[in-house]
Amino acid sequence: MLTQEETNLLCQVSAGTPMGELMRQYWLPAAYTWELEPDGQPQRVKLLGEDLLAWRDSSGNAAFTQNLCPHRGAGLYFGRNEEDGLRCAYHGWKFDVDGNCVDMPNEPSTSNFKSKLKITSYKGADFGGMTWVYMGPNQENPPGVPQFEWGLVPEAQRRHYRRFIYECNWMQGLEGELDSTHAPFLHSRLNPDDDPKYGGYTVEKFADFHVQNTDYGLVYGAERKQADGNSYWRATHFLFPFYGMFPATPARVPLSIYVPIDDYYTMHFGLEWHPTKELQGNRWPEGDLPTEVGVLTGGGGPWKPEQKGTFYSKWWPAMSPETDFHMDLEAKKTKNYTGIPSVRQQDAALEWSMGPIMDRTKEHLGTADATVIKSRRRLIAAARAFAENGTPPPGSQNPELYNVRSCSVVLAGDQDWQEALGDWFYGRTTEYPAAAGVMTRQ
Amino acid sequence: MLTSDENELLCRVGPGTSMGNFMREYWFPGLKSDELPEPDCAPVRIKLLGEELVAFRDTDGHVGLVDNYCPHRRASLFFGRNEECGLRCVYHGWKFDVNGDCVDMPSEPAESNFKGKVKIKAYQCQERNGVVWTYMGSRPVPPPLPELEGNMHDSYHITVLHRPINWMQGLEGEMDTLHVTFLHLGHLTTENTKPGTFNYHQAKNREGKFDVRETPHGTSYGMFRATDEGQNYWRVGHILFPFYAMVPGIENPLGANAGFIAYVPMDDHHTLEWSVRALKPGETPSDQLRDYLPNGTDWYGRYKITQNFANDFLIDREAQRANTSFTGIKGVRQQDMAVTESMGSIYDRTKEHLGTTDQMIIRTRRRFMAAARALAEDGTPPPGVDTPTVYHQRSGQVALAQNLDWWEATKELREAFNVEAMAMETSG
Repeated sequence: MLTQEETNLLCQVSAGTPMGELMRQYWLPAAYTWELEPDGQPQRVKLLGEDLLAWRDSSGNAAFTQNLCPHRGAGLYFGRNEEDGLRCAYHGWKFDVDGNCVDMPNEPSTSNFKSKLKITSYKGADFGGMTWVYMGPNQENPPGVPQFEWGLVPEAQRRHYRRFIYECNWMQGLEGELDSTHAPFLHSRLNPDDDPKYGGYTVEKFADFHVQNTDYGLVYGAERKQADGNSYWRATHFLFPFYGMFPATPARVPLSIYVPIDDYYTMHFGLEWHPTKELQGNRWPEGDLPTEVGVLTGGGGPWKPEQKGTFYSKWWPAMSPETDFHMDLEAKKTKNYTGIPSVRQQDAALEWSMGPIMDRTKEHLGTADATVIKSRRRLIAAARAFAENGTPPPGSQNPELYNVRSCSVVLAGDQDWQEALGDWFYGRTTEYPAAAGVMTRQ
Repeated sequence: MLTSDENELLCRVGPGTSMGNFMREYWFPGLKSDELPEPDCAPVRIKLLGEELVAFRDTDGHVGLVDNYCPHRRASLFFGRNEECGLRCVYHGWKFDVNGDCVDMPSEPAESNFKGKVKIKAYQCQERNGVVWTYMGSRPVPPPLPELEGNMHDSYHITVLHRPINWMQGLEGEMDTLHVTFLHLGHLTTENTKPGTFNYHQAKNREGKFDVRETPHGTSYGMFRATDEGQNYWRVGHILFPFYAMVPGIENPLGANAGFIAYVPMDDHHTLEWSVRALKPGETPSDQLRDYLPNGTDWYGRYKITQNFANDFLIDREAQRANTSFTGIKGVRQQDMAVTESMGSIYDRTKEHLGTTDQMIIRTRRRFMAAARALAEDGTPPPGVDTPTVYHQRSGQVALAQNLDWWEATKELREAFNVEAMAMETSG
């Protein structure tokens, strides 16, 4: 349970709020690189409550600039992206990627008004197939982009396979990611003997939580003791400010990202990679749903038809409260726990149902919520430390810390999980940790 | 740049606001006559200055504009029965005439005099050449109708367009005539225009200098650029109280056309933009490249077009890139809509940066705010309300010798208020 003041501090991200200022110390993933073509159509994006346009100039530089022209407040969205600048279609004022006004053809050529004018512009960078933006104060000398392994491996070894807008506060998404014990319920199939295509199945629903602070956030393991004396470990990380990972398998390492659009909307990205192997399947999110009743998709779609006039217009999910998230009552009775045909939308359905900002003064957290509690404490403490003393928030100045992986594996009952998994966790080996036994999980 | 308080004063028009009270002192277009095609036809929901009203045409052909809400239990009279010279609420049968008098109250005992005490809000209406004018002001005897020439010829063309923005945002676009050179004509060059034409002047020289005048009708501007021939090319336009514009247009010689634009506020965030003009003899109105959607009956259901913010106004980025159109958006007005709607429904004037070419906007806002304050604080009658002839103006483009005072030199063309004169120019 949090107080209302703590909830506000945790959830609100506009400029001037403690968490908003904390977020502005980090690079934020904002788009897929291919969405911004040189001289292509500017895209409406919204980050931390700020309406921006993302575009790429003739030379290929990514730009994130204010949406409204400073002259008469018209949307630069309708502007002409040409010759290394975005030109307002209203009176021809033109701005470069750094926000400088480089042409003002409707004013007398003798005027120096142009040189006095600058629009809000944030540094952009391309990394790992994504275009990132740094909205912090240090525009001249921003920190490095977080060096996730997936940005460093060849393209064939990563898949950006999921993306859609969450219609709720970013922390609700992240908390879902950190909450390990929902999976055996929310994402499960009803009949353990059924095909896993209908959902997962875990015999042991209870887990012991081991949580430890790190320089980048938290590392934690959920230990499920098995009858054979071994333990099944699902071990992973929370990385500042909004990254979560569900546990990897030998085939892939996943990452989930929850970028705050504003206090009430969140852009969710899901991706996976492998340190050495090429991954099969689509490189970018695709939208089809399974046709067979009860079968689950792990993908991100389908999406609504393009919602023009809004931010991230192509990324509004079709599964939403208006459709009860496509809940199928027959599937719910016979095949899986919710009847919702997508694993990730099962999460979304529950997280959105809490309301745009969950009222944390009314919750009742138990031992299984240890990572939720600790991650909140870290975030709140870091936001306060930055606001009060200027302490750089965890990881913001250390891009190399982001080279981490997660793991799911059976270890012997007496093995120290961090010792057994550390080399894999921190990229010192590409060998997946050896299992000490068999999972009693179907 | 305005302060936040000034922006509120300028934009808000609901009951009790300074600008709203100011506007209410003028007659203005409430709806088109053909929206009520015949006596006892279906009523229409009309929103004006933030007030929800119902318009109907009674059995005798008179137009009534009354409160939407029946004074009894506040049910909407839109569902009412328009019959025998009155609009009858379908809930309990109360009936009101065009003056707002309750003429029948069948749910009360026959001996009751309750009926005589109940009145519904009703605004006076007058029809003139296809426009139902309404007066929502405080005077028991309203002032005369403004003599806006575009509505004073019996051969006329009227278009109305739904604009989901504050009225002032639309009107400011009419003050800002230099945007035409970019937004609408940015694709023109000296190669693809004919030397000596107005469009050629625009392509040749994209800078403009403004001269702004305060006038009895509001404000007027002349914006000029030197031509190759040593003259000045002038664009002449007017803003007239409380929300009219006359604009120079594209390839439109000064004095040749009689017409006006009105930005009639439905509420603070929605406006009906009227374009009313006199047709020349034999003229067939041209296609304005707009695809209207069928009118609906909801408050914002009238005069919408297919191109809108939710479909990016069907912008064609290829055409934009090839510069066959500067914006890639079809239709001059739709180009205006895209930029003015993109500001948000009431744009934040504390954040703008106005330059020398925005002085018409700056001066007009000041004039409007001063006039609204003068009425609110001292009861000063709004300019032009009692002098309908101040509206005798025309707008357009003209080339003048550089030594001439444009205001004096254009007087005859601007004030050519005459049906015959227009006909002669066209035939000549």
